[in-house]
Amino acid sequence: MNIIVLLSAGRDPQSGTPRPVPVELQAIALALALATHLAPTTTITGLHAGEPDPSVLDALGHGLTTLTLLRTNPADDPLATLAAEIDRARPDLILAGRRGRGGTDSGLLPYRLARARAMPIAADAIAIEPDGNDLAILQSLPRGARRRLTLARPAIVTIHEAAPPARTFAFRARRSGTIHEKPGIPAPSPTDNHEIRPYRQRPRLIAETTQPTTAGHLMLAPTPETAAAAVLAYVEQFRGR
Amino acid sequence: MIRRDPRAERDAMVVSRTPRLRLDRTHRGGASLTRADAPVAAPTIIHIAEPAFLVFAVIEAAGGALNRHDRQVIGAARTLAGRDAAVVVLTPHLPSQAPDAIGTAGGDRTITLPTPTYDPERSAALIAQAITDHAPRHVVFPESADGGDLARRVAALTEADLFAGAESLTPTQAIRPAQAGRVELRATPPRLISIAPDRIAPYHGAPHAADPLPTPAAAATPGGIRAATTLAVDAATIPLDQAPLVIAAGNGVTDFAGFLDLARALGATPGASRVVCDAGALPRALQVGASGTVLNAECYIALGISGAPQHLQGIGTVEHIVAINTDLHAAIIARAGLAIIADAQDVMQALRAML
Amino acid sequence: MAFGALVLLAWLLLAGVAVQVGRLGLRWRRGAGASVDWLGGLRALPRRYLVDVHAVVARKPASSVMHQAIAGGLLAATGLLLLAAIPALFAAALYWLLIALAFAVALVGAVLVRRRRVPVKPASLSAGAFLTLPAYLGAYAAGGLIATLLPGVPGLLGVALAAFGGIGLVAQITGGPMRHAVAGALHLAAHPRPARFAGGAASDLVPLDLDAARLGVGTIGDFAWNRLLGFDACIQCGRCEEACPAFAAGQPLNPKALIQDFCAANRKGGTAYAGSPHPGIASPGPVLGVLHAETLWSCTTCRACVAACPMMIEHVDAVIDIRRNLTLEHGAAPGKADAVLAALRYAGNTGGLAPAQRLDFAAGLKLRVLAPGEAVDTLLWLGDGAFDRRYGATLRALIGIMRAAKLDFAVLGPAERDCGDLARRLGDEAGFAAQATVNVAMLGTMSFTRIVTADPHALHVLRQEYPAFGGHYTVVHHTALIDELITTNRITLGPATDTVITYHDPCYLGRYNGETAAPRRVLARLTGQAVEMARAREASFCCGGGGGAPVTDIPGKQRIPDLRMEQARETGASLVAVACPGCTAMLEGVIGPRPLVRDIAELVHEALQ
Ligand SMILES: Cc1cc2nc3c(=O)[nH]c(=O)nc-3n(C[C@H](O)[C@H](O)[C@H](O)COP(=O)(O)OP(=O)(O)OC[C@H]3O[C@@H](n4cnc5c(N)ncnc54)[C@H](O)[C@@H]3O)c2cc1C
Ligand code: SF4
Ligand code: SF4
Repeated sequence: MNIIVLLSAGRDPQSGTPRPVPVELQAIALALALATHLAPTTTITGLHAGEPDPSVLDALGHGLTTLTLLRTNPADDPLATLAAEIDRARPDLILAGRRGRGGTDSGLLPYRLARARAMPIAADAIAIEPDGNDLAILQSLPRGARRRLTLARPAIVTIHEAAPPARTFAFRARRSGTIHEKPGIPAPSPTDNHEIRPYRQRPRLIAETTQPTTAGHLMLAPTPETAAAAVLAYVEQFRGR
Repeated sequence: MIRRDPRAERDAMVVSRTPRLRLDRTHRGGASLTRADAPVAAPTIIHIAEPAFLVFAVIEAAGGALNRHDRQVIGAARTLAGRDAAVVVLTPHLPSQAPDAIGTAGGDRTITLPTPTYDPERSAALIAQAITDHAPRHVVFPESADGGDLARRVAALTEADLFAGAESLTPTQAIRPAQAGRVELRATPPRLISIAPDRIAPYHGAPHAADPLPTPAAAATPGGIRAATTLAVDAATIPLDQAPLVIAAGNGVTDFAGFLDLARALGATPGASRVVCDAGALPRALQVGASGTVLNAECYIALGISGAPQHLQGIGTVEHIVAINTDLHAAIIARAGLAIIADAQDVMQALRAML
Repeated sequence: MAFGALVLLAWLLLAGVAVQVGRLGLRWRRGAGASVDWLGGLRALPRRYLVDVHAVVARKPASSVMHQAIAGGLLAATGLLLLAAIPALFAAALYWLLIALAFAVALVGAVLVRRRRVPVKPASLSAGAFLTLPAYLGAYAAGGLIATLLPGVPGLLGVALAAFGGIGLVAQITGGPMRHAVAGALHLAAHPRPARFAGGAASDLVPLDLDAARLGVGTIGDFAWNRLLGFDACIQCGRCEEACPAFAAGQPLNPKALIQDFCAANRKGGTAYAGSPHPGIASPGPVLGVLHAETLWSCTTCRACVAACPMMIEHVDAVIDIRRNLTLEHGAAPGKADAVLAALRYAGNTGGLAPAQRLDFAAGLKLRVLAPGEAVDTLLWLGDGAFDRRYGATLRALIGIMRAAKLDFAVLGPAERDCGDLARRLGDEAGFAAQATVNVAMLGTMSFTRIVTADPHALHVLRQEYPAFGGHYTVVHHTALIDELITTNRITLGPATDTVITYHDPCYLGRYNGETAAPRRVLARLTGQAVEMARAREASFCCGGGGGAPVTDIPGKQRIPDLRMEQARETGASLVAVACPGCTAMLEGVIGPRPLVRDIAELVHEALQ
């Protein structure tokens, strides 16, 4: 099986320095786990369209041995470049993080790619297994729920944070990974008229049903029954909302 | 150099000053938008017969009822629509009384999407068809797990951009975080918008008349997703870092069998402080804290836990904390939304009896 | 007749020793290259032995007497016998009397050696070949004594007895306890840290060539040859085992067994190790074919073993060498290590927090933040503890003291990056080098006369480990600064109280940097009732917080800070004075009723007048 892991240029949320996107590293780990299920001929290749961003190269320290780097201007729309590479490499499975972390972070690209290559796409996987000619996907839903999907191959699957942890970083592997660099397809993206500002925290709405009496509420030596009732009432407020 | 003023930031985090100061370090709190002044007098029902334009609101209505996020989606669409445009709510099949709920939430029309099973490819095709049919100015989705997925499918199908995870929305400006949350993007609201949960207020005005529109003609879909089954959730086996409700035992708990039994009955995932794991009373995998698991729960019930800094690190983002402790001065008490000064054993027993 | 046979025996034994040394030499040659100043080393050997080794041995007077008797007696007797090649000596009665005396001393020594394990063998001592050692020693000494004193057949029987003992001892050079004598002497001459003997602290880790074919030690042969030699010098005295906090807590690390594992990995066969094992670990593990990784990750790098070792073996260097291989080659640092190292790599601090948050603790204090090109007298290095609310209180107290003394000082603020201590101890030399390079470059843009820090780990790294990266600074610990401010009357304190206070020496301040006096002088100004724990100063017992141990979190039977707190309780103190953010966190994590934990800065700040 031929697996491609899409890698994006990530940034550390606190410092802004280049840092791999955690879900993409988890995608590599899932691909490696899948490879142990499959014939030893399974290949796993990282794919990035853009510049040799350190964050992408660092993925090599997390179990990825080969990276295809398609040189484009970072401002270019990577769709055409990636689609062309997929036509060439003909992967059975393309993995991506559910969202990027460092760019527009919209998580839209895998869907556009799926559309462009007429491939099915499934979101938020935490486990992938071969199932005959199909793929069995375990999808993570909110509150620990799970959904099992059967997906035709070739397919694009995005990976959820709840997937098994990424492989740990090894300096040696980071240095010894292979990078295939090729030119990508220039595709200046239409300039979107977004205004960019430093991020400002805005308050979240709090539960509308929250009783003012229970916010920061203190009960001194209540009877066990009163206490238990208060706990239940408090817990029920946001449960299943 | 960027100067920060933690004092001012702290003030901004105060959720409520009564009865005790409670800080919301998660930044999840904020002013309650519950309206005491919501109209009570016989509400006149608002009809928008000749809408200036349409705004779609795509809701999940899981279990046949609108959830908070759904109402916020309709609220966002209402904001974009203003008084003259109509909000069209695209919803899975709803029970008969639900149109009222949609009208109350601010919807003027409903389009029912016939998707009896989980089939996001089909849902996306139907929504795309409805967009073609009605040419709405905006389409608002919830940035939830399935809602976010659907939004992106529709964006790809219609070859439109998605303004994903908006945290602020007015008729003239939408704002969303980007670049690892370090910046925000501001733009005039584009066609496709998904809104982050608990950011944009639901609609609280007079109810609208939610009239049904015809279901779009089902387009053929590739059928790449061949089967889907949702698995039953067992709170006891949810990985601790994904569990929505965690109940944890500390050094003040003595009956651990009773504790695990209570967790089961409550549908909560069990956790523990390090002391308890060190003593072998509960498995190490249950440890909450700096050297254990960092939680993402919505609610955390701490039984007999003092709230050492390393333990609090594990519940840094938990919004609702219940602490049951015999010591009024324990650090966890200051962090709790509901603090009960009582013997944990007694409360555990009373809770178990009630379930 | 007996005299001649005895002399012949001595020469034969010498030849035997030479052969055995050759065999050992072949074993050591398996190690990697190391540049050794042989001439200087050999010249310094007597001094290193008589001064440095003796200082360690003498901490246990009984062992010291034992060793002086047995080693002195044996060496003197045998050495004198070898001189019998000089005819004039051979004929001198006094000469033979001297030899007899030496053998007699050795015989007493042999008895003392036996007494160490009979009737009761202390847990930290090994059995095995060590049980036959007193017999060989006794046979050689007694035989020699008989041969020198009794003529005729009894004398010849004495020679036979001596031959039996002597051959047994020589045989034990490759596989048994006697190896320590040969290896120990050579180790003193070829020691990998000669600076240790020149009065320096010499506790810095040495940078790694990150372009090397193999990073760190992955096979036994990756150790430098003189490290292998050093391991073979171990006499299994168990002092390191007694000193080791991880061993005491029941974590799977026994520094003595560790050294013996290295010896075993470097030889085939030989006598099996017969001392206490790594707690909870029975079978050999995969690392170097002998060790379990947990053993290496249990170490707090406290250097208590190194300070206790009479053979001057460098356990911590070995632990770090292997950790470097595990981390850099295999990404195998356990627990939260990978997350912490990533936080450091990408955010510049071990918590992965926003750099600007480093100053949150000082909200309202209006600290001067030093900008590139600016100058200040004292640069206050905050350390990563600044992100911790508890340690923030210590820092605020220290700043209060510095302001009271009207010092000209500033901080680096968001420009400060973690010094890299944690990365280095966890074996991530690449991560450490990155931090060091950035910090040294950043510090190079400013001018200051000295750096003050309340974090002994930062102190150690900045003072001892940044020079290798081009950063040379005068680094002062806050306790030394406070001591200086008190003695020069820059600050005045109220009268001493009668609170019973005991001081916990941070490993990286006391053992690593030899600073134990200043904090005690300050404490003496604060209370009339300063008491010492049984293990203090260079023999202090770690809090458990060093070496990344809280991050790797290898389970044991107890927790190290609980043990240390118990030692503090034994003094009857109501307050433990600390001088390190790590110690504060570890000791405050101890549950149940216990003495308060306060940093010296906090105590001084309260006492300011
Ligand atoms: C490096 C490091 C890492 C650490 N990591 C973690 C970690 O990941 N997770 C963690 O939990 N800890 C961690 N700790 C330990 C932490 O410092 C505390 O020691 C620990 O959290 C205390 O656990 P506790 O609250 O259960 O026990 P205690 O501190 O003993 O508190 C017990 C509490 O129970 C109350 N109580 C007693 N009896 C009753 C009763 N009958 N009913 C109700 N309340 C009662 C008491 O008032 C008290 O507040 C770490 C410490 C260090 C140094
Ligand atoms: S450095 Fe400390 S913890 Fe490590 S082996 Fe030596 S004594 Fe034990
Ligand atoms: S390593 Fe040193 S202290 Fe430990 S047993 Fe060997 S000689 Fe003794």
